[in-house]
Amino acid sequence: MKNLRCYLLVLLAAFSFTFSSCDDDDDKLKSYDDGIFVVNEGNFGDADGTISHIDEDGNVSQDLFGKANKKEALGDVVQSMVIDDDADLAYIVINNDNKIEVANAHTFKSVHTITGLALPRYFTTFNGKGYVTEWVSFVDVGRVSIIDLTDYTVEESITTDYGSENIIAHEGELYVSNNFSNTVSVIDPTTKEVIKTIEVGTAPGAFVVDEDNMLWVVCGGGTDSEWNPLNDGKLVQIDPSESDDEESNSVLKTIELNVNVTAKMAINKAKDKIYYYKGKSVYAMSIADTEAPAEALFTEATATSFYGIGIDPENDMLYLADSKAFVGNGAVYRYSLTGTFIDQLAVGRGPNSFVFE
Amino acid sequence: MARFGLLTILFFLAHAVVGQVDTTYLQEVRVYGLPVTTYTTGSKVEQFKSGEAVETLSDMLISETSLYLKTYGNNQLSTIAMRGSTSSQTAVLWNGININSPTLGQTDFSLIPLFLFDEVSLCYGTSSSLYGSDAIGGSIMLGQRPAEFEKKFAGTFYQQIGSFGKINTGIKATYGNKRWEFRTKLHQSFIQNNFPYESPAVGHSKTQHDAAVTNYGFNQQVHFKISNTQRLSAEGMYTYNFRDIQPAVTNDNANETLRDRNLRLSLNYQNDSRMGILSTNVGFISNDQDYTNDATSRVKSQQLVWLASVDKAINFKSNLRYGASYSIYSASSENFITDISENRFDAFVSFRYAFSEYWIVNANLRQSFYAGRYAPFAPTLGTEAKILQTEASTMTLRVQGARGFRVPTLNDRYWVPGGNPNVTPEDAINLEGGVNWRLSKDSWIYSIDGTVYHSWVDDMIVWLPDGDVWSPVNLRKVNLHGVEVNAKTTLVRKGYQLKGDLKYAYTRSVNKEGLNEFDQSTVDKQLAYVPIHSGRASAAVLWKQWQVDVRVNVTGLRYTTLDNEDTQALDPYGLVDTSVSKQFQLSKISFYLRADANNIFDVYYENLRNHAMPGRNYAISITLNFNKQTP
Repeated sequence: MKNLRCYLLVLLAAFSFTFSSCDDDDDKLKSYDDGIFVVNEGNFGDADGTISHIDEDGNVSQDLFGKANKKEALGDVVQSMVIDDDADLAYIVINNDNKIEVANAHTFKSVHTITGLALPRYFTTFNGKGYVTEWVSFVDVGRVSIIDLTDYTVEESITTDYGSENIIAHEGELYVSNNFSNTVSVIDPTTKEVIKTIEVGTAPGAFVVDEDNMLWVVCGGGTDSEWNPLNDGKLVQIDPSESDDEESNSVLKTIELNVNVTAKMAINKAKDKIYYYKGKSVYAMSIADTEAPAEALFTEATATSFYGIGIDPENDMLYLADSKAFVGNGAVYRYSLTGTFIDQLAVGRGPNSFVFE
Repeated sequence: MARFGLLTILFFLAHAVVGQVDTTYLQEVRVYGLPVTTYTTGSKVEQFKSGEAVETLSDMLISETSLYLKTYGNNQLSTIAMRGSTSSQTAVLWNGININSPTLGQTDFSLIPLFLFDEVSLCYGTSSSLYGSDAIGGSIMLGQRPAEFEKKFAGTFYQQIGSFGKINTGIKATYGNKRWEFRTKLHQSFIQNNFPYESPAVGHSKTQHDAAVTNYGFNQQVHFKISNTQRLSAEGMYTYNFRDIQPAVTNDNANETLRDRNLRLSLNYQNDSRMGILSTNVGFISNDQDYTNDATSRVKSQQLVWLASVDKAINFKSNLRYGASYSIYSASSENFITDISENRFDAFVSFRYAFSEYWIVNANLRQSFYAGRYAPFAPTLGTEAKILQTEASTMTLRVQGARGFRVPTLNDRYWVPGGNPNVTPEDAINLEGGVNWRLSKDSWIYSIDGTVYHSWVDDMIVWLPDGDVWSPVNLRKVNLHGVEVNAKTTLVRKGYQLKGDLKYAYTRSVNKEGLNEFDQSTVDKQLAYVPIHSGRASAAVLWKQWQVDVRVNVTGLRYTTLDNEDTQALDPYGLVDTSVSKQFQLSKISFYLRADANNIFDVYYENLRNHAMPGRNYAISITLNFNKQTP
């Protein structure tokens, strides 16, 4: 009988311990100042997108937003993030929840939620305003909405072309790639009008700026009526000085990639070499080249399929994200720019892009 | 008729002997004619007589079994994982025809209105030899009770109203005489699903929006007794379902909808002759689904099936059944280059032999062919032995070994972009054993049924990305093993009855193959959305015409990812439901009144990550039965 009483007492103690250990240590928020943020979009419909952080020693912290906000979910399909250093704010674009979460750039404590968007994709700030691209729907023409960053309301929307995707502010204009189409729209932020539409290649996506201040856009390539890939992915170099003239040719150079690629890329620190990928093969091309590389720089046999790419502008480290088919958390692979493997890190589900601080 | 009788007697005898049929406490199943369970010796079978309530098959399975259904919200898409298998590895049959979607390869159990069916049988474990493709984790048979050909007129009216805008209506009518029997069933259901919830992922209380569901359905049967040895039965069924697709808790403005229209027709002819009972069936199934977000995409598929079998009682000891089926599948979708059409052919034979009153063996064989290819040859060998029989108690042991397969879906093979025409059928080996013990003592009846199983599933089809295009490959190997226990007790005393029922399943569904040869993060992990522990317990008190029920449903932690990340897992939950009902008769009409309170502790739970399920909710219903039988 005594044994039984002891046993029950232990059980009770274990029970109360389990419960007391559940307390949140919410008060002291951790601050993430340097390092690399990984955007994990999560599985479509599961609202399990997160932001991870990799510090200089390669330690990963998961779900920064959830940890700072009482385990709240960031949302469904976390598409992209931009950090505004001046305002110390992170703008996190959540595609399928039609919103932008504005959070403290160090603690990820939520500041505001911008709602009323329609399938938002990418965000940038320019001259104190926010600009967000929106697909609007899968059948409507895409647009860019201008956000008042003092009260987080949508001021105005500018129609571009189908599937408004990446956006970059460059030389006083805004460039928007229209992913369901084959164009880049140039927006004058003062008149708030599309001043030029540049034909590039099918399914344009990410932009980078090279050492000569020229703009590059990667085009994923199209498919025929039977959904077979046309293998017409392209890298297109755009001269921003031609943007004022509606009639002139803005395209300096088009590199045929001869495959369909993911419309994402990165440029090195010297801004003279572009890195892009297809599946688990990574390609590198000098901006002076006139042809795409015949061979991949390397192929990562251990990966499932890459889903995002980035280069740390401080140390030229190459980052590739492996979605691992979304069956679980994804991985980040790190390499030197020559393709030497450095390490592999576990991040959140569906990692799709990197933000370097 | 004599042979009908003989087989039926044999069947009853067999069940008296082995007692493998495990019915719920709701209503005992009456077995007429020739159910397919004759040749299920060695496997675990549960049979349910579909009640007279308007509810979905999903709701019934959740409340009456220890099975786990992954529901995408309340009355939303609902898929099954029998014994830890995938949602495509359960065969669902209607009149012997597999009604899993030929394009997706699975059944949405929220689209099956139970009101339109009389009987539901669950066969656990692998049994492709009897049910063909998909029967790896289990099989579910839907059907109607055979016609009685008695002079009668019966009618039923059912009306339920409940929380969150729930309105369910059902009408049934039967007219019969010695040659004809006509049955008509109609139902209509609506739920607004505007329930309040407080999800930790949102941090404040919200009201569910964009989750309304409307459905209605119709079933008509005409049975004709041509002679004492010949019967003709025609059945037609149409079901319609329109739903807003319930969004994730974080989503405030959803716009996706789904419209499903299913037509099922069957013409059955049975002839009892010297060669045995010939049953031949012509069936037509049509599935038509519109998915709309901004634009509408439509997927249509049809099956035309011809099925013939002969079941012969050779003597008192042995039964033989053999037959064949031929199906023409066709489908159209934006993601198929052209409309698809393919033929499938199955040949099967079953043999059962009773060595004695105490020992039965059973062998089933099937070979399927699809699109000019062989599916894996599927045999089953099973046996049951009664090892104990006294006046008060019987104990039966059963053992079964089987091979099962799943033919790749039309999407797997023809979807553009990415479909892989070379993907081969999934292949599974299953071994199981069980024990069934029944004891009656004084006024008590006890029964316990336990099963242990192990399955090795190979060549499981998984879609993997290569850049932006996803393709299916025969990648995965999964070991399924577990234990199922059902226990039941009844006390019958003068004036009152007590019933208790407990079902528990321990399910391990372990992945044995990484995403590639280097991936270890998913190896030896439990498949997503398969709870390791799940169970239910219920108790009922019957007193005069009153009945009070309490039901507890417990579902363990479910991983939502294959790397079994704890932070992504769904919390375990326990739900308590209760109901009170009363039955009474007013002249020729019997009344059944019932009040339900579900999830009475208002537990917040999820069956799909970040998709809310309703808290405490109520419903009241009335059933009117009119039955006029003249001998």
